[in-house]
Amino acid sequence: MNNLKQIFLRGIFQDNPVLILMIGLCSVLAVSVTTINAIGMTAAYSFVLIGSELTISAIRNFIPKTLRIPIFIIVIGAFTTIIQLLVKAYSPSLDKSLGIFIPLIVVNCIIIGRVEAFSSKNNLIASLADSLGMSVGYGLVIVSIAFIRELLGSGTIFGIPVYPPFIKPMLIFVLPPGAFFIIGIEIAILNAINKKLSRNKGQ
Amino acid sequence: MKSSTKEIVVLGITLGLVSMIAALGLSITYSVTKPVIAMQAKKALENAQKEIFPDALEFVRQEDMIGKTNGSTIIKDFYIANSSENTRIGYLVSATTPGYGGIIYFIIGVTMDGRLKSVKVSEHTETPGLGANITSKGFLGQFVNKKLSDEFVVKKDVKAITAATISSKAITKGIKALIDLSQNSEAGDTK
Repeated sequence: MNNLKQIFLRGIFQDNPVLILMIGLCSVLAVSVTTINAIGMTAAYSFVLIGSELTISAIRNFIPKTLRIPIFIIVIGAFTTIIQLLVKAYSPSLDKSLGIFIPLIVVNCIIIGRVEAFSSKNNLIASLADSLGMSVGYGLVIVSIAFIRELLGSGTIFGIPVYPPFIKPMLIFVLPPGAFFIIGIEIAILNAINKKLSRNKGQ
Repeated sequence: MKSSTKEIVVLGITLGLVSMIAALGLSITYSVTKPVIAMQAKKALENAQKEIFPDALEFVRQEDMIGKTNGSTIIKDFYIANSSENTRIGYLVSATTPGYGGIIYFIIGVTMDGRLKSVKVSEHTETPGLGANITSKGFLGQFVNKKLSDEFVVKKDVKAITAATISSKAITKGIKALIDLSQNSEAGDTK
């Protein structure tokens, strides 16, 4: 039980996919313009990650070593297409604003990375803990970046304007450099937290 | 030799099985979502039609106009709006034109007295906060009731968006190209 908690928390702190492993940055930078987009992206991404990790973990003993990458890609591709169709059918506005980034989940390195490094070697429950941790880790980062960018760059929270009309929002935060500023600051903060955590553990 | 052949067969079967299961999952999702997606697209189209011509009774699609180009502006869809049988009140054209950051999808409504009824940008990838303002009412509003014979030149009779001149020019050029295109065909129609 403790071990599962460890696996889950690792996805948020020591092995946070975006801030520590530095993978999957493309979608984080591109989609984090509005909070709604970030939440939608997190949902789509979590669906694919959890589905793929569980599937691969369930069939891990049947996968021949030489075939593992093609099978991973088929599984991830299938889940991505399923979520893409679902989003298109039930949330067309989200589909419009996320655009190309949903199909691009297929090549998101977090997913193939976790499937290869973790769930192809671990059982179902551990894979579930890992995929949940990685999803929460990803979601916290992208949603917090999006919230700050939206607030500073567009002057809105969930699309509702919060600034008095005479204050102009800082446009740079909606543009790509703004994303880099915030992601840099978040990396620094998480590194500081991790340092503190490991020091506490050492004592 | 024998064992390697067997191995290849086993690999092939495994890969085939995995692909088949994946294909099954996909086809089930596809067949469930296909009607819903089609309905959503239809609803979006009807909403756009109703918004631009609230008093039209029916919209007749003009298949022969679809795909016509003028410069880099391409007609994607063309509807004639009728208020009752044979009473044309205008037409509705959706088209694409290249913008600053990608293709802009837009819809124009034109009334029979030679004025623009409305311009809507339905999809675009312009810079957020700058070019993305081409969707704003403040910008598109200036096209409402504009005469088709006007010049459509940014900074002359069209006000540009601050710091987004290229996007403003792109959509204005697209609108003008589209008007010319539909006017010409209109003239050809009556011949």
